[in-house]
Amino acid sequence: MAKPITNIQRIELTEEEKRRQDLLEIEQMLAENKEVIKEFFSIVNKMSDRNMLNIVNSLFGQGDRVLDIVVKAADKPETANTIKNLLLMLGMLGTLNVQQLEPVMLKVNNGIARMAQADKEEDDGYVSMVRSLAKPEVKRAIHLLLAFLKGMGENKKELERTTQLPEDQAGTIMQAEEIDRQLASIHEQKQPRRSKGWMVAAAGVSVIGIAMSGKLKK
Amino acid sequence: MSQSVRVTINGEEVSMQNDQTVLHALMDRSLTIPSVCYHPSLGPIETCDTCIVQVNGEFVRSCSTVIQEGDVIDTVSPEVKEAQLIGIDRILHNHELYCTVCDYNNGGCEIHNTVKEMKINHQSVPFASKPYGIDDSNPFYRYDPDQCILCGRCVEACQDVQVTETLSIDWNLKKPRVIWDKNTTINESSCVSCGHCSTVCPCNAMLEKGMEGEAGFLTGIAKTTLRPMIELTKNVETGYGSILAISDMEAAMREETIKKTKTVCTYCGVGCSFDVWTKDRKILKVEPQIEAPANGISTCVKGKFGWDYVNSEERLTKPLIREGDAFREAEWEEALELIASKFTEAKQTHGPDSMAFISSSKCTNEESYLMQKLARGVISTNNVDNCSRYCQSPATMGLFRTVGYGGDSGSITDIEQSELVLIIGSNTSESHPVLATRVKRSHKLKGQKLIVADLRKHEMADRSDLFIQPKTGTDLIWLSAVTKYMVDQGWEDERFLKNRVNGLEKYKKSLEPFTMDYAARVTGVKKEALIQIAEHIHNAKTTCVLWAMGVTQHMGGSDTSTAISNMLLMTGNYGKPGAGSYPLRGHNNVQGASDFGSMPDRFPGYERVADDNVRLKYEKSWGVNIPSEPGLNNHEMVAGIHDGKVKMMYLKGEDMGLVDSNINDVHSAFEKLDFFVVQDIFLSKTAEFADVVLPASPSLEKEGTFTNTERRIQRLYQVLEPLGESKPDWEIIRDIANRLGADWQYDHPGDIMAEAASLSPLYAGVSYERLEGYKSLQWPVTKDGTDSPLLFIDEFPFPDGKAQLFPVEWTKPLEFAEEYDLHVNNGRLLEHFHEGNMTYKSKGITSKTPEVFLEVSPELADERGLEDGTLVRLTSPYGSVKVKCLVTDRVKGKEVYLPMNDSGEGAINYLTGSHADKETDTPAYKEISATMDILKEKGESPLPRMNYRNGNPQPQIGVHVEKKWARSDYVFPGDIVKERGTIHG
Repeated sequence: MAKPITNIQRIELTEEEKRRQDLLEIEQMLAENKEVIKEFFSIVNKMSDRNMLNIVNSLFGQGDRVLDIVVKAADKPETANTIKNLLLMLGMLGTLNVQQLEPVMLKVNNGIARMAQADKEEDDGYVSMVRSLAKPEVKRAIHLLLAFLKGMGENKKELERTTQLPEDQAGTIMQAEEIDRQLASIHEQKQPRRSKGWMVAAAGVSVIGIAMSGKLKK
Repeated sequence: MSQSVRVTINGEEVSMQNDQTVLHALMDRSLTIPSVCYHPSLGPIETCDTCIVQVNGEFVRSCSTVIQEGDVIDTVSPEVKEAQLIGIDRILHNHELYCTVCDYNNGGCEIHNTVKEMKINHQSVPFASKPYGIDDSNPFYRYDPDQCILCGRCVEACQDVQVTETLSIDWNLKKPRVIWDKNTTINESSCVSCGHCSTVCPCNAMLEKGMEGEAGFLTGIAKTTLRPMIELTKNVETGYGSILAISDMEAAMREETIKKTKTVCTYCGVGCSFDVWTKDRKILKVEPQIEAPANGISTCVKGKFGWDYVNSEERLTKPLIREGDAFREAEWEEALELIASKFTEAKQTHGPDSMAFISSSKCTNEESYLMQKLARGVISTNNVDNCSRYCQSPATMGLFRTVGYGGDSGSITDIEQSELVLIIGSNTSESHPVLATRVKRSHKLKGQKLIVADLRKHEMADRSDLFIQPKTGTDLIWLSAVTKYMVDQGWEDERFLKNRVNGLEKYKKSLEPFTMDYAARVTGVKKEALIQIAEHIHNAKTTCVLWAMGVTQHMGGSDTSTAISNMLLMTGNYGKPGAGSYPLRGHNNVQGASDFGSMPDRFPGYERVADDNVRLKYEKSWGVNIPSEPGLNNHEMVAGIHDGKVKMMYLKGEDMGLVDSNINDVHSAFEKLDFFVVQDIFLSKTAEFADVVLPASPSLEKEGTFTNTERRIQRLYQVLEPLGESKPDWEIIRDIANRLGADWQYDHPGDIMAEAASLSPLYAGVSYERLEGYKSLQWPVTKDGTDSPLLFIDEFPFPDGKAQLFPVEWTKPLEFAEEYDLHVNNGRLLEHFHEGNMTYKSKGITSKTPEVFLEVSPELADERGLEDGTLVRLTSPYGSVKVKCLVTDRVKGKEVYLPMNDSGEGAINYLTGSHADKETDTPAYKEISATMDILKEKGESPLPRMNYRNGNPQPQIGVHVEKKWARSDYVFPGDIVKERGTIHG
């Protein structure tokens, strides 16, 4: 006669048995992960040397409170601004075309080197200065400067994210296509054209040249 | 009819079908159009205005505009983009983007993805909070109006897919929001917690509570910290681009901690499949998938939210061995050794037929296969059965007799598209909730006609076009009378009968006694109503009959099922889409448990044990001798124990001690067993009688397949590791068999399926590869993998390919002495499963439906002085129950209803007797009468106020978007763009 029963006698491990089982499991785990554990302890030791463990311990111990303080501290205009600036700078870095920039930067470096050299040398007279305008490297430099000035003069306000209200931005869907188009148009701008235009440029630039020579004379 | 038309899309001329929307056409051509409110399973809702395009120069919503010949479609012009932009801006006005600290940031957020897709950087109208708090009242999900974009998906799903009709958007409020009923809290509304709304919500407005604070790495932080964090996130933003990049990264990281596993639900025979999201052993949510073949995006409260039991502390985690008056936890080794020695001893001393094996309709096909293989192939007995004996064997019998296959003759989609649905003895919306939604939807929106025959005025009866309440156990009479009436009118399908059916004349003759007058007299249904039913069937091109326990759990259950099938044959309602017979299978694998051979007279695929050729096939494959005599069924096993013939029993996954009828008698049988092994996840009532209890793993902890009511075989994958030392049933059976010297080499359920498929022609083409993920197969499956969603298209599985009309006679239901003056109907509740030992483990379900109750009619309440909470005792000749009353007009007169979901003093089977269907021995659970004594007049109502039955649904079709458009603050984005165009131009 098997009467219904609901009473279950669980296998109760004694403290010692439990401990023995736990230790056995740990021992097995240690043996299986020997290398990792060695490395881990080496890291922990170094952290301990620098008092890191203490810091981390306290941080986790008071996790919610610390996070609360951090978030509240962060949620201030200047902090928000810092993060915002960082993100913006990152964004701007992303828009730079390094491929195009590299030759320009090399030239600028070269220019600076020449400038440093020029500082030590005797000043030339006006005649030699005007003559040097005809030198090919100077012509190239003037061309580049002009192209740069032209690009800089174009209105790109609608793409600015830092100066205008969101609703005035051109952002949105068209933004990506816009940027693509610009890049394409830059590629399209062929090498500086050698044409009669350089005379006009020379005339204009001579003004700058004069101003610069004045500066160099100082 | 669909025709090919020429249209121009963005300047390119293309040809396409005209029966589709512009949005579909564009998506087919891989053109991405934002569409936040559009959901493939819901259709166009037209609330979000993000899918605007220009067709022939006019701005239209592409989701709701149908393609026409010669259309010129523009999806890329700046004007179109501008209009779409206005749409998304309005959404962002209603929704704060704090993705990284949002629990919905899991890659599927429609808003997040649309903002990213449209490369939105800033919004022109800033977010504005709505003046409503979060509704946190429901135990399963919460609504945050501040995050709600008013897309109306939830409303569409509630009104027109689930058709509970609780949700709507109140467009008349200054700030519109989703409301429940007439703007009450979620928990006090008519909401059935089916979860449709949280499934279709495109964002975090309607969120499963399991997800709250769990899904993300930063979402679990304290509320006080969260707000400044959201502010910080917003202040830092330099445009959404960078924020979305970070949240995308975080969403990708979440994939590492959240596991998503497909499983198949175990709470009824519909066979819903879905992904379960887990973090370690914690279940975050259940996520139905559009491609799920039986249910799509649908679930009920149990499937969506009822899985707490898997982590219950009451789960068995070690084998138990009876010792004196207690169970002692033991190691597997000891338990298996004990079982093996007792089995061997019983076999040697008393012979194989002294042993009995009971399989479970909750376990997998593979486990059912192994159980019968253990009985037949290792022990050498055919004494193996399963618990479908308690419900649907009579339906199977009725179909075997007439059409040859014991399963639904079509798919759920056939029920959906049928012109007429006739439901007999099935409380479909509570017993098969998701299947019921398909009928409710077709009835509400597609003009499907619905006839219900039932004792109780349940939800389907409430919705029906025609509702009859025949006297209990008389369905065969009115079914036959309706069939006879149609024959008399010459409405039978002559061509179908001539070409495809045998036995017409004999059957016609058998109908003679069933005149309308006779039927009206015996069933109590008016003649006019029966004639109306005949007319409905005659006028409908397609008819589906759905039936369940109200038909089968009678002494004439098989015959009534046969009468249904006869009627369908007479009217040609077989073998065509939208028609057929649908005995709704009650448990997840009622179909499969029998399909895979856990039956005393049949091998897998219903091949007969008595057939020498079939037996030879199995004997050869298994290398054993199998007895040719059919074995004992459940019912006969209990009798066999009482007679001293059955000495030993091995039972898995069935609480027979509660769900068999006349349980007092079953309990005394259990006590007589020499040795009793029970395998379950809990210490069930049945397990209390066991000598050894083996801890099994539930569906979420194992792999395998289930077969749903549509004969659909679906795979389940392992969501969690088995708890403690519990094991999947197939492993346990294998281990027992191997202890008995069987040498079974199954490493995976797939191996078992491969063996079954190689032996049974019905599953010839079934393999785990063909069932991968959400793929499924409906048997019969031919070798090349072709399955059969609709049966009998060309022929019936009889030698000459013709169906058989099978004459039946009425069996008078059991009569009780006069003092037993109340008829006790019984069945399911939506919220609970079976005896309740799984669903009562859910705190949420228990809070809304804490205990069983007895439904009594207002008339009876008046007569006996009953009210909500009155404690009564019902006594039948077999036993008694104690239960609290609930007065409701769902029942009438002296009819009471006792749900079956109780394992204590309210358990229905203390009342039921041992009478059974004469063909199949399925207990006549529905034929029981009792007397009533009042034990305590006053008490608290057993049904809390916050139960959906006390709610106040507000039916409407869709979200009423035209009310949004009529608001004074609404202008169609297309009009704004046009206006601007004229100003600038």
